[in-house]
Amino acid sequence: MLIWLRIAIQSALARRSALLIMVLSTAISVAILLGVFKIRDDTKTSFSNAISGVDLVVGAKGSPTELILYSVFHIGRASNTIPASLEKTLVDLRQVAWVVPVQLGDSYRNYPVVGTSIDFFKRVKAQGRHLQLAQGSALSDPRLFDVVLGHTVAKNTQHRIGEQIAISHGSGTGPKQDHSNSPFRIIGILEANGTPIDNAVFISTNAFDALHDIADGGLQFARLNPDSQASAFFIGLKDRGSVFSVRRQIDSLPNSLMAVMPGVALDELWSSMEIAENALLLIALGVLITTILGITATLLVSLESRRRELAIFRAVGAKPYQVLSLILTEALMVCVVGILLGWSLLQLIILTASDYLRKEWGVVSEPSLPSMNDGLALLYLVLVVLISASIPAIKAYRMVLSEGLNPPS
Amino acid sequence: MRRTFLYHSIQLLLASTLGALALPSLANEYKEIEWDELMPEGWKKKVILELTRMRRYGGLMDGDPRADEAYEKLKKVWDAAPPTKTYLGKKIRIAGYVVPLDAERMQSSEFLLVPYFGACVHSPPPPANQIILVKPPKGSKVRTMDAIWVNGALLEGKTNSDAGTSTYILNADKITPYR
Repeated sequence: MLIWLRIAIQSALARRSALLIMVLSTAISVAILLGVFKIRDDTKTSFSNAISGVDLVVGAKGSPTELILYSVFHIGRASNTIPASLEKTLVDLRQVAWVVPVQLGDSYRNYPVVGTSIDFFKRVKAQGRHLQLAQGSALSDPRLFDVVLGHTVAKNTQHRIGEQIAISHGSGTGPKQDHSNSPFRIIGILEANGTPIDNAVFISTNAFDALHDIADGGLQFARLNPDSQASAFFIGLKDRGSVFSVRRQIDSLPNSLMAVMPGVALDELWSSMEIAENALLLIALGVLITTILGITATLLVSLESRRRELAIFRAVGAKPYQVLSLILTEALMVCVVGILLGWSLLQLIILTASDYLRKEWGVVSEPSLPSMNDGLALLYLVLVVLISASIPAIKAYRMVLSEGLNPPS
Repeated sequence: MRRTFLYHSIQLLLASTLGALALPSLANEYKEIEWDELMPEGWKKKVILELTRMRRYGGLMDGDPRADEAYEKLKKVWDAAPPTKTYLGKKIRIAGYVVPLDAERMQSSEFLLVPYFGACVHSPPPPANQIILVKPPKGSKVRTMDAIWVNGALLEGKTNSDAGTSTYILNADKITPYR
């Protein structure tokens, strides 16, 4: 048995150029298929780990999905801001228990900066729990330039409690550290919770406004801005059942506001994503079928060039079934090597793109071992390749010895 | 012959005992109810009367102040719709559509159950006594506008004294797709 494997390997190596292309095409299609599975799983898990406890998200009239993506997941751009003074109007609405402002648009080293109030930490939940501080405690009484970092931000920037940092206006990426103009001091670091909060930097709304003043006029002192703007308000209700009624009240306010139920908006996003998901899957399947056909065709063609080789095997005493297994072994080898290569290729791509995926799409994707689903798909692939390779294999099995030794004239 | 007769009678006896045991537990089971039954009789009559009176606005154009006024009035009545005491604390079974609340997709996030499709996008929304806040059992997963059956104990929701609104809370034991 082992000797046949060696013969198969040696024979394959002798014809490596054609087989190499076969292996490569298998690898690429495996990478595409596993990649589609991975994207699908990772987007699902990334988006299901959102904040909770927020009943309505209020923003300027526009697309509800966009508002949720921007204010909750920090993806995309806000279409319009709303006056921060509206907070009072919203708190005064019947049934509203709390209102938390959310200001977005600035960034610290590519991490979104969220201007908000202390209530954010008291009210908003992640994975059904209130936000927990890993270090620091000053949340109860934050001063103007206090900063709280999300878990991932603290981990990746290596910042510590008490350190001073410079937060830039706009979404610039400048690495310069001008401490004279950076009164921000880290007072707390949040525990990891798997939500977009991990990747955010929190400052007070007043600091957020001051930041804009500094950028606009080079002011050294913070000044409270009377026409401060917010990207969105998170609202919690006394009775969650009254959500429709409160939403209607907000929609009919004269400021052309929009109140969005986060769960509904996200489900809308899901259903629109399902179409793209299925399209991707279909393409991956098409690539896979092409590869399988390619392997079969190459094996069939190679039979012609191996006519003598196989005939010699027969002449030295190989049984027809041994010739058959030789062809099948080759197909299996191509398939397995292709799968291994394709999987490694995918891990490499994920490793290089994970930073981009997280920042631009909010999708957390890390290299991982194949899932149960992946394994099953790959098993099917091997089976189908074996079945389709049995066509050339049976042809080789049937080849008469004399026919092989005497090439057709 | 005798033996088979004996055999059958024992079987019959066993069956009837089992039946007798099963019956009371069946009576304790969830009572299937309609959404209409969640409105107090008196309130329902009042609303129907109100709506009939409003028919004379039928010819009004959209944006007419009188129509707006009538709509405002209706909204107030809707929001203040009282719950009926009939089923409070009882185990019920009811079918409706899902309106999720949280963006987070945890397996046991609370959601609202409403009587008609599209209640979350269309205005006006259902009256307060036609909305149920469902606390699902662990491991149940639902999506917007899924049609489901919910089995569980119906409770009165938080009552807000100034607004008078209150909705039902349903502690769900079982959620099954509607068929």
